[in-house]
Amino acid sequence: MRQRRSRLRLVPTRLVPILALALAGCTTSSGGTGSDGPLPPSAATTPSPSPTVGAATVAPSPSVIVGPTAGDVPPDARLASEGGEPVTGELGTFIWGDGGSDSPWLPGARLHVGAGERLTLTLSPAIGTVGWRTQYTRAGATDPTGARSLGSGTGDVVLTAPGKGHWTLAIAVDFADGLGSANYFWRLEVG
Amino acid sequence: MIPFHRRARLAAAFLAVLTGAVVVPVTAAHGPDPVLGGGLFAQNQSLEFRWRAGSEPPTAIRTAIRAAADDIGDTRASKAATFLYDSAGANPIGYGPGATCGVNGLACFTRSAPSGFTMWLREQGHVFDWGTLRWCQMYTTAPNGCYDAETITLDEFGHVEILGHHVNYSDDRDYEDAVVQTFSRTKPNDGWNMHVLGRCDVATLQREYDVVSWSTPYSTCLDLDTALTLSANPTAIAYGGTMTLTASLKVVDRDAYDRLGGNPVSNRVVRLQRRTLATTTWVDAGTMAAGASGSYALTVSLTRSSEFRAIFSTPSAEGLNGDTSPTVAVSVSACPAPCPMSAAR
Repeated sequence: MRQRRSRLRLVPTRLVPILALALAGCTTSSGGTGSDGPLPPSAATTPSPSPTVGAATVAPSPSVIVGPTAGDVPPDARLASEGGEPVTGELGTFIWGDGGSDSPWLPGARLHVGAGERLTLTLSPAIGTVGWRTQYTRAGATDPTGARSLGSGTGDVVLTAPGKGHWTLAIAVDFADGLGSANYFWRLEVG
Repeated sequence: MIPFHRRARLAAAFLAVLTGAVVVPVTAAHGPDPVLGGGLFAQNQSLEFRWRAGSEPPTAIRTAIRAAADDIGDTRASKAATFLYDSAGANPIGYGPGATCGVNGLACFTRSAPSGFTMWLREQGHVFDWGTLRWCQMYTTAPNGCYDAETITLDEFGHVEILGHHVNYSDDRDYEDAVVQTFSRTKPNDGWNMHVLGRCDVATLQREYDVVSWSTPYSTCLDLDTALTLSANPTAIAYGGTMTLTASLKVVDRDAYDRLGGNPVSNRVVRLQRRTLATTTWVDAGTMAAGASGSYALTVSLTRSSEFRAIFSTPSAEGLNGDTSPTVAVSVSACPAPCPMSAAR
């Protein structure tokens, strides 16, 4: 009966992420992960590891950022312990721009850490986030049944490594400005 | 019930970009599925799909995809878009190594409502970091560990409609409330072969696209307040005269209810209660007959001035909350002589 409330179209949908990325490069964030400075030059394009349906275009000037197109993927997520080398997580299920991809619970990228160590996530390119959640299972699990949480929040993703053992850690990140969400996986080898 | 003030959210998102502020996420555990960005398709829009040239699925997968399209149509309980195979359809569905899914993706989609969508499924035997993809439909006897192509496609069709991944309880006990899931399950885990939309998928489709008719049950994943009103015609009658009580049942008109706000609610059970003026005990006067557009009526004969109220009890099988109407008074004139010794009927 009620007319569908019109969706506020400040900019065309496909340009929202473009605008977001562009503005993220010239504003500061009070809570978003890794949005404290200008985007690095590499953020001007979002490369795809696979063929794309919609062709990505190269930014004609440094002030124009190319946003998601079909086939594009969310940013890389890197997890590091204090002083350790960051390891890029395996990208699982995601929603990004006008599309998305569904994946299983993944084994995760191998990361050696110490029990109780502080783990910090960074996104590359750095974009704002509005929330994150974690789940971890014993390594080798094929779904999150029985998973436990290592924490959740709305600011920077900072975790404390679980106890000794081999674990699969999934971090789900909700991106700001309606860009979407993504799940990243690591195989934590906690010594 | 999760409110989706999309306009506010978009505005807030835009302001957040400008100011660097953080937008609070709008998803919460165990409610209707969240919604994706972008627009909606038209109500009941038919989206014809074809096989992508050069990437046609094998027969077994085609059958599964068509079945998933039927599943949406059969279980959407809303005016969400429908999907139909047409060799000349505008929306390609592909299968195989050309898939543009994420590197670990079983299947993927793009949507650009209201004009169309694309979809891909990876090919049987595709080797991922996590293992080798097996579609259950590719076997005479599906092995454990396979993915049901119909379920996976139904999940993708849900995304195309506008559905985001359902946010489950931490222990996943509500997994089967939605087929649009972050992590699909393999045979033989619970929910591996869901061929119907879950109630929390339907809830969002109803809210975004509206219900099929005023009689359509609302998903139990919704939590909608109703408003019941009652009127009498006439409000004053002669002794022993008759009058008609008419109730009107609607979903409360709230922004958070999106298209459902203000909907008439038809063909439910609405009861009428009566009490004689200056008394406190309500007695049942009968079930009101359902009419059009959420109206309910009952004609009664009275010998005493009375008050009436209508009651819609919270149903167990749908996501509506009951309501009781305000009281309506009906005056009955004095009994003309010779007056029989009669109680109120």
